[in-house]
Amino acid sequence: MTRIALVGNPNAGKTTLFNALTGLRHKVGNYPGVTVDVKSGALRGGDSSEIDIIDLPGVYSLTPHSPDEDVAIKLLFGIDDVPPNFIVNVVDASNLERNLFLTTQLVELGIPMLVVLTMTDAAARRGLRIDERKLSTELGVPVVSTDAPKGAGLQTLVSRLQDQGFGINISPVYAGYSPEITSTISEICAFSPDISPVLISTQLVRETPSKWLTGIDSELIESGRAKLCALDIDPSTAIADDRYIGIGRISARSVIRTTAAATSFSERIDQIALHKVGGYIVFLAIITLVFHAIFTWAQIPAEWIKSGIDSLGALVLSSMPAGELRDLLIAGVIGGVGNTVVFLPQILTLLFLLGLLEDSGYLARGAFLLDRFMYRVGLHGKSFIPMLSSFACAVPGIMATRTIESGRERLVTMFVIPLIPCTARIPVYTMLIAAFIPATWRVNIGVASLDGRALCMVGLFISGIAMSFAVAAILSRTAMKAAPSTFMLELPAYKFPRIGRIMRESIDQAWLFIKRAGTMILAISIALWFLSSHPKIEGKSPKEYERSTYAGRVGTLVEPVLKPLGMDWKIGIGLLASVAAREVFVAAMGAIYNVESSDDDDHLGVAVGARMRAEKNPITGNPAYDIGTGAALLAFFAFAQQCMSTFAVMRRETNGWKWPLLQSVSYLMLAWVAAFIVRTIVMAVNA
Amino acid sequence: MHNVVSDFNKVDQPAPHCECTLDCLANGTKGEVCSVTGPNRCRLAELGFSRGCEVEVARKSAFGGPIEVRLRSYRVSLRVEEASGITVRAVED
Repeated sequence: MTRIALVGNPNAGKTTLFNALTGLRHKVGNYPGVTVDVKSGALRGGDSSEIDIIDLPGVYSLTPHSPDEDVAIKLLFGIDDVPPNFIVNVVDASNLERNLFLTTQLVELGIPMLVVLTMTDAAARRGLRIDERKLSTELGVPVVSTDAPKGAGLQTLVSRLQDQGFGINISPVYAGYSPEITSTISEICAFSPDISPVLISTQLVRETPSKWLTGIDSELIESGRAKLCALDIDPSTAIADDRYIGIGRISARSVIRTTAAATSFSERIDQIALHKVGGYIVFLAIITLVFHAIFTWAQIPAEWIKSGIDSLGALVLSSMPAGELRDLLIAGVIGGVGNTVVFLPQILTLLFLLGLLEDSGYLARGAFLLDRFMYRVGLHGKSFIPMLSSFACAVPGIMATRTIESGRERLVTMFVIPLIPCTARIPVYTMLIAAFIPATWRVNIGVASLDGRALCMVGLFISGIAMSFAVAAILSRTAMKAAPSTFMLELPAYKFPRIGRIMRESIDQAWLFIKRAGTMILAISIALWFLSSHPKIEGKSPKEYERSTYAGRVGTLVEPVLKPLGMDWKIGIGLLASVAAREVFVAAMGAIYNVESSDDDDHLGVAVGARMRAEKNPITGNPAYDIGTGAALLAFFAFAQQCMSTFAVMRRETNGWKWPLLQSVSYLMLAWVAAFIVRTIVMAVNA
Repeated sequence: MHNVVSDFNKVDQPAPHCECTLDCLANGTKGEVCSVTGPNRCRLAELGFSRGCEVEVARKSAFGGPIEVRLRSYRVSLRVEEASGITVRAVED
């Protein structure tokens, strides 16, 4: 099989070209570094088993500075695997010189390659035209122009790839290092003749050689570096300086300036969007609009779904004979799944709006505006993007931190992400607020009278966000203290978002959510329903033996820890079930209570909150939970990290158990303490 | 050997009159890179901040935030900490 690697700078149009070549619909990011995993696909229009195209994460050079650059560079050097047979280097014509830095290094790899020029229209708008033939002569490899989104030049490219019309430059274009650097590289090469000189040059520039480096003694590179430093040559900059001299020559010969560059459309927008004052007003307005859409507009379709589920429950209640099967249907299926599906409009709205912001190029501006603030709390401007997507779910948020070059800031960002209020918390918050916060409660500030329930929701969101910043600030001043890292952000050109694609992607992600609701939540509610009614004891009502059921035994086990928070074993079971996903809590509580309510049909199984409120203490006969319990539960959910998927993705991204364990344990303790304090305060105020 | 090399370097680099660091340039002014220092110099050099390259401060943000720099027909934003590691010689337009 022939493997063709697609290589290029971040945002050079690589993923768009990949989609055009393979016919796959993959995510294309207008934010540098959205491609984090290596994707591959068969070249379309040919025998699918013949040519495999690999889309690598974007790189600026062959020297890795971040985890996703490591992935791409190792593959190109053939570190863990054989190197690709051919390279297609995607070059952004509007940013030729910087892109050629990578191109000239790739030429030196000695793998047959082809240069694809993209964004020639953007270059033309800036008054630049590139002479493909001259560029091809200078580089010694073929150069082809395409406009992948419009399909121009694509057919030529596809047939070139099929005919393997690549070129190889046997005397690499670029060997223009100063004599000292040239001799250092060749001295190291003499020890390991199999190693390519370009690999040595890309490792010489690093303060310490890459850990994956094999087949060469890293001490050789370190001593080469020391030798150059002794000659007053800093390899970290001198090697690039020399390469850029060559690139300047190539560019001077192949670029034709047609007109003077005009102020671009993006620059004109940025005069407002990045304005010292106006920029922040625009930013606040956009963020407010996003949250307004989630909490007011999305409520309208949510109400439709809710009334649909309620009438479905009523239908089952009236048309089926009373019994275990009906209870299961109402509590487990309609209650459990329905309570989650209600949040679909909110999740879809959030995903869609985030997609719009990302695709238009605005998210990178957000990173620019917020960097100073993020930097103060030990985060990175780029942390803003993963943190924003964590409002949908922490899992994609943690994965999106890969674009942060600095390991420490990436780790701090990943560590605080579970504190950001994700959509899975919304069903839990809504249910608990409806159950425990009186609808009549209003807070009067001056002349304004605010709805207490709405205020509670806002408070929970703000406390989650504030806690994430507080934890970041504490961590970066104590356990994860280090020198401030790098900030290099490229602001992509604004473009009109591709609404169709964003809708498709949001629906795909929302569908995953529905599938989870339909499978995991359903399975857990059925399992819990069974566990909390078995083993059956003849001649006794479930109320009398509830503690001796399977669920009762487990719940009783965790009860001592929860007692100070005003919670009983039943909530304990719900909390244990929420490990699968936080929103499972609602369905789990429904399943546990419904077992006993089979003899009174006052409540539909869907009204879990009302059922919780009505729960009586079996000994005293008083309500089992008070407002303090509700407040403690809310605080617990705001800070606890019990989500299994988050744990799994943390383990994968940090490559070990240490961080996910530390995260879960410390946030569970934080949540417990916060719940205890909140309960104490609420009880004192209410007394 | 050592002397020969340093002599070569002297010929190669005409004595630069580097006046200030990049973060000191005013909005809209241009400079020519003389040297890049700091832990991040390798990435900066690869991105095009090489000796002799012309750079222009395109935007300075509020609260001492990032500085947007125009160079080699593209724009990149740097923190003040990084920009202060780049020494430049101001260029008259």
